[in-house]
Amino acid sequence: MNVRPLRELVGVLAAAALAGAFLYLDVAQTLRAEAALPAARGAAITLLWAAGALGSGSLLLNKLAPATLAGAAGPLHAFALGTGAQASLLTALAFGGRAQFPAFIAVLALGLAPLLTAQPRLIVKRAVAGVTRLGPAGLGLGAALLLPGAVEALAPPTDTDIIYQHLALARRIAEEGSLLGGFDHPDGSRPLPVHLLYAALWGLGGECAPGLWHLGLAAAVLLGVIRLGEARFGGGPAWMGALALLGSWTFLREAGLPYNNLPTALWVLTAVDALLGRNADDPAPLRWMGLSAGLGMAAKYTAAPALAGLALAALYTTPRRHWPALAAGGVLALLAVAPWPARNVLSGLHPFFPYAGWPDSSGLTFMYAEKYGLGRDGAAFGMLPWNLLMRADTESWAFFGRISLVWAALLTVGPLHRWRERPVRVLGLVVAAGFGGWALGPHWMRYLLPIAPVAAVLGATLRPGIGAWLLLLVSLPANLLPAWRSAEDRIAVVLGHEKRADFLKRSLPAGEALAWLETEVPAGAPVAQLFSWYGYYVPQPWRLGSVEDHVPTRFWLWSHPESPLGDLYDEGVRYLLVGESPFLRSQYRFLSDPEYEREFGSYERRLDRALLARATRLMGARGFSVYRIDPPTGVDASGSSE
Amino acid sequence: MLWSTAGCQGAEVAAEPAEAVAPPTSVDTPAGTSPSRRSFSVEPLYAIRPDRCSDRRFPKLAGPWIVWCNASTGEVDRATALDLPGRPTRELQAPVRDPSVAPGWLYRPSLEPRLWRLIAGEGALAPESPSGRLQETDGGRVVTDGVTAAWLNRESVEVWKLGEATRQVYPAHPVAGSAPALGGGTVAWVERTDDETQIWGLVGGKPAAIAAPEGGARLVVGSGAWLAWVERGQVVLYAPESGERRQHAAVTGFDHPPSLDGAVACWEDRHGVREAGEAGEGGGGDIEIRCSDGLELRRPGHQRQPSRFGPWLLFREGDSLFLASAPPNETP
Repeated sequence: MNVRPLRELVGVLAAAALAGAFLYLDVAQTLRAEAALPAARGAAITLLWAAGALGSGSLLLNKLAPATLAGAAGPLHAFALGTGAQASLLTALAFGGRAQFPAFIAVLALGLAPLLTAQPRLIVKRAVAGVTRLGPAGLGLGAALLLPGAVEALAPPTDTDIIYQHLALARRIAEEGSLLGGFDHPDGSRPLPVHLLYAALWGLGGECAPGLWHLGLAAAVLLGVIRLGEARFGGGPAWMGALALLGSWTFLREAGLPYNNLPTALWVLTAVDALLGRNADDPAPLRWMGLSAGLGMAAKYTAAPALAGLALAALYTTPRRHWPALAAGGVLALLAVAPWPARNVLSGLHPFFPYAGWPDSSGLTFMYAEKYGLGRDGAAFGMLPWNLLMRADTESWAFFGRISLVWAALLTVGPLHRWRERPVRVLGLVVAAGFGGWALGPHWMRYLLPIAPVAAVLGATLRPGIGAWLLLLVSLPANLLPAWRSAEDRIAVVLGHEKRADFLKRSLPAGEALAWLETEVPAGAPVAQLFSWYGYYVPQPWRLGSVEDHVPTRFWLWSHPESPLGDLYDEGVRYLLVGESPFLRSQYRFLSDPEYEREFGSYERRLDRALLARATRLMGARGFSVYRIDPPTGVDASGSSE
Repeated sequence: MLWSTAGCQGAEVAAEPAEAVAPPTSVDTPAGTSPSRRSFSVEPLYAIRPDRCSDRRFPKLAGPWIVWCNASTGEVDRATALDLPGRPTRELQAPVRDPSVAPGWLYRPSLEPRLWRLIAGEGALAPESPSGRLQETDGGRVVTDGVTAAWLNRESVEVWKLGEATRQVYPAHPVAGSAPALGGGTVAWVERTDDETQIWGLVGGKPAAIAAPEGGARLVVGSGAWLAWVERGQVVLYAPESGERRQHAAVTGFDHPPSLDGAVACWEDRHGVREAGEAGEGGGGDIEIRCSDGLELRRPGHQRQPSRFGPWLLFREGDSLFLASAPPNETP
């Protein structure tokens, strides 16, 4: 009798029993229901929202560019267009002050409705098949590498940009139904299509839904990179580009955080692929290319250089007879972007406020590009690729990021080898234009993310040998460990073993001040944030807050020199959340002492003087204090005359 | 509420409020009465940079010791004796975050509590390890007088003897982030009521209001037989055991709490500052430090953050630390 199969069966059963016992004894008792249920709600809404994007996107793309829908990355294009449609609908609703729960439900339902028909359901099936095609090894590897992102998505957000901008705006929009903006809320004057998606997800699925959706989008981008690499350059799976993304901390870190860099990257990628993948006789994808480019541009203006490269490539490669379609694409791009600068103009602001349009007399600089990177002289620019690879740091202003060494091979060896191929030249032009534009701006590595997936597709030109694998593996620890350390810090709160309030208190310098605001200050009493960036967690309606270098607070102090706090009081503000040490001189070494004093030090002193004269400190801890603005002389604290 | 429950985690539960008791009767001293002014000398302490401390309460006096920070972490890590020849400085074996101070003592409650006796000697100061563990994440700031310690929880005030594991727990609704005070054999705290904040303490072993003025009361501190707090337009001193109450006209409570050393309170006073305007460049009033024993700092610029013990008054002026000292023959 052959006992080998029996032995194997016993072995498998024993392993399964052991694994089952482990899961029961560990995970089942570790994950608490109060943590699991909101996460499940967030995940369910995320899935429905993504399905809605696929459904509506496939319907629309079938009209706009059916050949693209039928192509290798059809589901990715459908998802991108559907997401753009959801964002555009929400934009219209927000402009009308209606971006609240009922509207979110309506947008979700509109997206899901096409799934009642056959063709959109087929796209969903293709999307699922595209995932399962990765096989157990590919799925397992991807899931393992994205696990820190999942933890990040489920944990209470503590990332600076998330809590001062992305979720802070989403929460305010979901609560109030309309958009913020102007000198009090400069962040709200940026283009906000992605933030409106987050507002809907936040409103429907709770706090973790935007992060989970973003994580899914990151996974979709990775899948798209593999599929597009295969489709454009053939010869087997184009894994290395996706692995280069997954092996780069700058990509991994944002995977579970609801930023707008990767949504931008998705639209840039689909715009580029619409051009590359089109049949020479079919001009329709050019229209979708334009629309996708416009959506990417509206998501974040940092896409502009790469999209300029794409426009050049499109002009160069499109025959004259298809120029009307190209022009239509341009019009669609403008329609996607234009509402945002138009809104600013109608509000009396510079169209590109807050990046421009601060009064010259204020002397305020919105952003000092010199703060980032390792210098801006000729030598520093010449060394930029080397410095990016070798000297970037996840915890300093030296690019504030880290990427895998394998990019060096992906963006040189393969593309140079196949330079004569049209897709290589188009992708190369987009990446070069994107990189050049980035180099002229602040050297913050995350601003490269909009072109990263395109660069990863370009990397599919490389047939990876041992050298490429070595570069990938050698740089994995420096890229993965910071992400895993961050996840380790959050796992207890995600599983429900650490109280949310305790986690936030220990994670956020302003934690105790924010907890105090929640328990001690009336919910409706407006709070002004001065040198503070915690809008998401301020329970009351807040003003000012922070953008780059605390520009809103500095502008308020500049524009109300006599009575900055009295003027806030007159506008209904009673409480202040104040950061005590807003600037570090070492971050502005490029400024002389008088320049630093004029730009920063003088504002700290102005606020100190005003606080001492006109406010009462109610509490303070870890560098943040809550003040009450004293009423005018002759009026008691309740507002009535004495 | 967004802070505690809005996310993908669970909720927390509140408890029942404590019952209010009418404040006891007292002997009052009319507001505005202060002893005559006293002479003193002032010297800068340039070696001690106040901005090195991440906790704004420091540097401060712990009896005759200045407790200050030089660690890169911004934590307290050394103390300088004012009453010893040459004013020796002793470092702590390791920096400590957010310690409680009492005359001659430093105390850090935690799961591994540490207690430093500030004494002259060689080498780094080693802490003792008294019993009585506290979860650091429970919140609230611990105060101690060197014998007893107290802290405020969200729904209670807890008191215990240093070195003992048992804590007495009283129901309370203290203002979040405020500190209790130990003085006159009792513990006092700022209680949140529907309308205003009041000073509550243990009266006959039960929580009760000891000051409920119109306009509210806050920033309670304690020392020896006395408690002190800030009310609108005045600082009030109160001896729980005798019931004596003293009131001193003051425009204070806008930044740091008063400093109390026995029956002597010192406070920041911004009389006239407000009238000078927020821009503060009209040459109007500035912030001075006044004490209930007549010690009064009238110097150009703002004097802030008083810390008083016996003949010494530690304070900040601009970015520097200063020490005012009464002559030995005037030492209380």
